[in-house]
Amino acid sequence: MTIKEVEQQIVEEFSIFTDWMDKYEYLIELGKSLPIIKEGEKLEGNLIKGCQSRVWLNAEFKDGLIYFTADSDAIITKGIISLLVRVFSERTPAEIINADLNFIKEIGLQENLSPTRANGLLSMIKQIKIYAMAYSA
Amino acid sequence: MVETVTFEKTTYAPLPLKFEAGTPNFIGAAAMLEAIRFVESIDKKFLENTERSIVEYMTEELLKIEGLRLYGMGESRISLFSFTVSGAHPSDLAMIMDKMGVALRSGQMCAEPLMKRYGVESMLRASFAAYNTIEEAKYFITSLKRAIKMLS
Repeated sequence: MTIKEVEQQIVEEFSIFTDWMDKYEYLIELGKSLPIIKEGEKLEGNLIKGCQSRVWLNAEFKDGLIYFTADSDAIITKGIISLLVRVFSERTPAEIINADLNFIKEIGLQENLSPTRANGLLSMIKQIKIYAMAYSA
Repeated sequence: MVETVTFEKTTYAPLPLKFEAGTPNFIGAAAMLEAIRFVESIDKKFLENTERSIVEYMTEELLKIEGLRLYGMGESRISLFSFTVSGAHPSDLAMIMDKMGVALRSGQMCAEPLMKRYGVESMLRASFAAYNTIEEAKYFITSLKRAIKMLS
């Protein structure tokens, strides 16, 4: 599946829920299924700093593809990262760099977050793109 | 402040003026005046009574919640409540309660050394004032319990 197709799949999943409480319940569920980062990889260098919650993001480059694992101490944040991991993991650097990520807007995630929380989401995406740029060099 | 602006180049005023905003904060001044008028129009006894009854109700109800830790238990506590709930991250609780119509501050409160002092990464804060009612405090407690349940 292409990044676009996975995004479309996520948009369809979220369109089932009309109420934001249900969307959060779903994010909580997703958070629980996130491929957890190994304890040893919860390093300072993998930490995306933010005022709200802590997020660890680890990337490994194998046979031309980038594999992401992540974790957060907050479960909804974890759910949000699980969406990003689902879209971006096992992709080539070029695919990641060129992705425009419409699904975040389409499921209404960004407008439903306060500015500091939306910033946290943007720093996660930025970090993913930075990894992709580093591996494409 | 800038010195000259053209499409080709912008130059800034010398220090310290380059760091000064050009427009005085007249909107803030007008708002300040209205804020003072508002506070002056409230009966001080009413203000004190409302806030005290909210403090009493909130303190009692918050402490009944299992795993809830309330910070700053001094005699002179005001109607702001900083707390954490074990097993529920402040950011998650704030996001869920936001959807229930309750605005909460969450995070490090711009006070990292204080977070360290209490041994936590972040906290939640509910701020009540004289324009809040006991009904709203009750709604807050119900919403908080619902949010904790969602996360457990």
